[in-house]
Amino acid sequence: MSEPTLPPVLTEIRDEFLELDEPIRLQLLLEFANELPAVPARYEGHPELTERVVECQSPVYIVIDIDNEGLVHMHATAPREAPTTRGFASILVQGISGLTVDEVLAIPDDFPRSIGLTRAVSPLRISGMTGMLLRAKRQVREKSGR
Amino acid sequence: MTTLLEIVPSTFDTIEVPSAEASAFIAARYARRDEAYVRLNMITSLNGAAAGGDGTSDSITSPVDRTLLRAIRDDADIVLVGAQTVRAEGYVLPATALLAVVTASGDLGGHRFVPRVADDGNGSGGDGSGSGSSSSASAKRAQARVLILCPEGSPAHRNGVQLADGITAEIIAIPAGPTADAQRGDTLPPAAIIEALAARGHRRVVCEGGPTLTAQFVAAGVIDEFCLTVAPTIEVGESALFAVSAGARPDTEVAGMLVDDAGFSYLRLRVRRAAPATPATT
Repeated sequence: MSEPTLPPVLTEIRDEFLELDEPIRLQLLLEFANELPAVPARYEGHPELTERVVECQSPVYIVIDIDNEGLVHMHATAPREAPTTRGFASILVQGISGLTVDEVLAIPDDFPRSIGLTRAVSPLRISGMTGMLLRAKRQVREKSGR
Repeated sequence: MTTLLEIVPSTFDTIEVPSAEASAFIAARYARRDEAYVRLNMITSLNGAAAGGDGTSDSITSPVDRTLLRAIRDDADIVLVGAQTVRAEGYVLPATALLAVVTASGDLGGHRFVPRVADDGNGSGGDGSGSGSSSSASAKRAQARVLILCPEGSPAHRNGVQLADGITAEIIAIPAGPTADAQRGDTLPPAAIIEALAARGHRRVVCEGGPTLTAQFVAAGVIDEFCLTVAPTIEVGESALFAVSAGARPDTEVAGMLVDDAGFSYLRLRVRRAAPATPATT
């Protein structure tokens, strides 16, 4: 097992947040919420194929695919009424997709707490974000057989 | 417990008040990084009364409003207020910011200023706003002083102001402008007040009213941000929260809005300024 290391894309996203004043960080999170990609057609309307992130108050579902080359792809759905959670889902989807299994498993578990939102976002939302990351890593572990 | 919900920006995030998390949640929204600003912070009933039946804002405020007031004061160097409001509300000294009172008479009867114990721990603010100004938290605690802003030649200027033991009234006489009346503090030009404070290193100002002082500040166009709590009540009184004359209407946009389950709303209106010559970097 490698040391916890934040992959470049997530590092870039974290630094982007930390450079901003707190009220503006929320705006950036909302921008990410607007950029959450749609899930592939095969998952649409099939919640049974995906995993509910029960730590989130609103219905958030994630699914991990690992392609033939061993690269990870994450998909997520989150309602527009929960933009902070949706924003974090979008960060993970953008930050994880295309990484190797080892790279994903090396993401520090406290990443959601490291992007400067712990004061501006309620503890419940932060817990939801952490739940999302841990469940994504667990799926990667299971689906890659690690 | 009160549940607070954020509407603008539309995070729809919720938090329980009072709690340490809620204080941080509110402080994160009300923090300003700019070195100089003038904020207004007031509460109003639906029909524009700034006070309830007891003549103070205590009876129309809320737990969230008190948390927010604290956050706004903690962010500032100066809490600026008119003497009438000090008398009517029975003002107490802010925790970290200095209090500055605009008055001509020097009559602050009814205030509840209590000198602070000098050794009540280190200032927890620690926001690095010291930067050479005389307004660090420790200095404020040790001196326990109140700034008195008064027109030159006014009774307050000539006779000084007596406060409680252990509290110094520092008199700052401001040259009367063309329309100023030495008998009336509320005729001092707001720009001259801001300038006098800035000259002493106090550039982060929150004005807490009352209506007359606020109207003067609005008319002078010196306010950068309006923080207004709207209480879901209808109170006795005829006066508007503050008067705005034709031609002095501030052009504002909603920078923030929180609501709570007791029906209060908490608005932050940012004043739109004419675009500066150099565009912002973001």
